[in-house]
Amino acid sequence: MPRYFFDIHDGRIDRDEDGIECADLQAAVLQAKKAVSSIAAIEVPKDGERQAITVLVTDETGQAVYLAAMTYTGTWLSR
Amino acid sequence: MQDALIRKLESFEELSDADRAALRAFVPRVRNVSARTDLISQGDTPSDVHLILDGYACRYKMLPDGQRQIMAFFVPGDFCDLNVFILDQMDHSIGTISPCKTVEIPRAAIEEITAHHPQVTRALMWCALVDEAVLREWLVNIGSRQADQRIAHLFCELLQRLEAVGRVTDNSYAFPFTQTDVADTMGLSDVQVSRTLRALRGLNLITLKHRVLTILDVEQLKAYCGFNPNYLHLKNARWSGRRQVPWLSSVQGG
Repeated sequence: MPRYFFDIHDGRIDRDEDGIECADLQAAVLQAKKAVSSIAAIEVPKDGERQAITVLVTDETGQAVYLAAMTYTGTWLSR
Repeated sequence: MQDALIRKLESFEELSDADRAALRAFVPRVRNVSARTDLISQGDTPSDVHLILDGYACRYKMLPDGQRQIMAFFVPGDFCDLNVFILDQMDHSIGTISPCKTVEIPRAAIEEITAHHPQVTRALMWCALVDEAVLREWLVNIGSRQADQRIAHLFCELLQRLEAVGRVTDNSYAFPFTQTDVADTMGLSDVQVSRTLRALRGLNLITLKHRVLTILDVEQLKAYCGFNPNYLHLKNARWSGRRQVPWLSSVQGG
């Protein structure tokens, strides 16, 4: 199975040196979708009103093949 | 091989000579099962109780969309679902993770013995109670702990459970689980599991090489995830002396 690498940016950069075996690109994209949404679920409640989380998927040759991104914006309407 | 079962049960309850004789009277079947094989599948009519002598197995359920949820890990010395034979039909599957040596105890034998030997019944209830306690803790884990703490908690639990059966050397134990196994157990994505392993390695808490997990700083890893081993009931006050003895190490080689 081909190996894909998932670099995570959520305020800090977390480079994936090990990668994950996925059946195909479709499966890797699904992994990225699951990852970005589950990381957002953990990070958003922690702090801050503006957060962006991205997962960049690269293949074994180092070619970027997919970018998953989620942004959060909180606005206080009264203080 | 009956001795393995007797020792296991005696770690919970004192058995009489008659109890032991009754347990010796039936001949359990020992099976060698390859990795990634179902011992019993969803929909099957259960007939035997499985006891793991060697290797790792899990209890899991497949959802219609292909998603797998793992609800329990079984390590040497564990019964895979003690009361399963009462069910008409399996609502989940039990499958091996690594190659396993298992003992199959026929339903009739369990029914016969529990009907006539109350101490054996109590010992079996103990096993079931501890399994339930572990399941409760896993529910807390999935529901309330963050990804990195969840996985750290699992590592601490496996350390304690495997230590109790003599399968830990220098805080290292066999870890045949894939990232996907851990993800399907913890309700996480593979990417999160991979990231958490990286983070725990980065903190010098663990190493994972050639399917062997080493916990570099047990106390710190426990503190990291707030691990409290009370739910494993490994130090039952009544039998604490007896439970120091890893019963499994004496039955190696079958």
